[in-house]
Amino acid sequence: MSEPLTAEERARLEGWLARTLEATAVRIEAVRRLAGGAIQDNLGLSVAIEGGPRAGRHELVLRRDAPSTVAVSRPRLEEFALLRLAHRAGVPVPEPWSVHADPGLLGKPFYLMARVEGEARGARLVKDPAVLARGPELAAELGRVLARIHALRPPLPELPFLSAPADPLAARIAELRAHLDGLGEAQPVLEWGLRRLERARPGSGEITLVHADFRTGNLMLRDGRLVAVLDWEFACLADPLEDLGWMLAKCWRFGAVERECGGLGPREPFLEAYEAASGRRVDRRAVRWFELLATLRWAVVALLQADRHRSGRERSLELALTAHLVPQLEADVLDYLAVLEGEGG
Amino acid sequence: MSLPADLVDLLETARLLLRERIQPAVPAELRFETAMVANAVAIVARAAAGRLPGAAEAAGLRRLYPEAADAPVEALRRRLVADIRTGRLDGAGTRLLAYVLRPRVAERLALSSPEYRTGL
Repeated sequence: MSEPLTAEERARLEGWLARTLEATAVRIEAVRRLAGGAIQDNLGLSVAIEGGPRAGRHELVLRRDAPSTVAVSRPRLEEFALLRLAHRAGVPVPEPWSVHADPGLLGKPFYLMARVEGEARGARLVKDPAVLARGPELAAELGRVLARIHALRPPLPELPFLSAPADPLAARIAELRAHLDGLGEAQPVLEWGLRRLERARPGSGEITLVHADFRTGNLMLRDGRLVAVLDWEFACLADPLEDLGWMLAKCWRFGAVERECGGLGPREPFLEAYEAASGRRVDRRAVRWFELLATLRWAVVALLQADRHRSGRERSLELALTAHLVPQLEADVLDYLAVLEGEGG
Repeated sequence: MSLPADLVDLLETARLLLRERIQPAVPAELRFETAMVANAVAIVARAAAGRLPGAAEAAGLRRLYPEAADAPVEALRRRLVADIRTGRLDGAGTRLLAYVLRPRVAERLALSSPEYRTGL
């Protein structure tokens, strides 16, 4: 793999940082590519700043777009605005530092945020003794944080790029069907799931800011506690039940299927803490329907990722193998429908 | 359709060497990549041994649309998807699941992840 930053890019970045941070000098002492994110290119920077309000040594993360991007993910500038709003609202996120819109500096727009120490990898977390020791408390903590995100309701003038759909479920179903049409291969199980969802019309009737990727893998934990909610690129205005369904869906438990809240803790403490913090009553059956929606959405994203590889836009074994996750998701779709509708529907 | 037995054996032997000797010796930063390679080889080994999906789903589609039994499978699958979207099969869930959807999932799982534990 190539150097993450060329010498010229590094020098330009140092100059820009010094101006932005009102520093007398900025030195990037180390750069390394960070794991995670099939969609972004994330770099870890060790930075020494002389003078100005940020003087001192800092560990930062620089996020910029990867060579090819998924159509459903937000550009970095919008993600930065989301991060800033979440930070102000008291949601634990990495502190957003600054954003650079002009692609001239590093070839693509990017932003910088503080680097938060912890573990986000799902496969590690579901085996972490600190997580296992406080599963119910952790699940409740996640419920309270989601309630804080969902307290952000439109209008949100800080996020002018977000529009509220009149019927968020119908909009989501239409979006997934459009992706399936674009991919061109008929998917009868996913289509059946979408149709049953369309007929059932579950929903809370509310529209709030929704993270839309709130799950194990995007939650940074330390000692079994949440320290940061990451990856805001899919955030949108939608039914808040979407986030609950995404967090609880079987497909995001990293093998620890018996711990229904993302393989980290049990379902009920999560939902009860969410109810207490948000003041909303959560219809348990509606949550199941949104777990089905989550499964369908992940299946479509997996197909899109596999297509990035297959089309030659971005050759990668990881992307290629996501196609082979889809049968598991299809099995989950039928299992959810059997629970919700009985055999046959 | 499956490959000759000696070619299937070649792939299977390579897969076992990868899993038993190479994977444990791989440095931490390449473990994920090595696991992906092992997974890819295992999928192809199952396909080579004859576990390619398609036959059960095709038979189910022909049963669902007996008058179009000569049509290509992809055409039948497209017709099925159109019928699902327009609601023409809303009352036919039991048949749809039994003929097409469950067999499709079962044979696709057999190729991609035979160890997957279904059920919520």
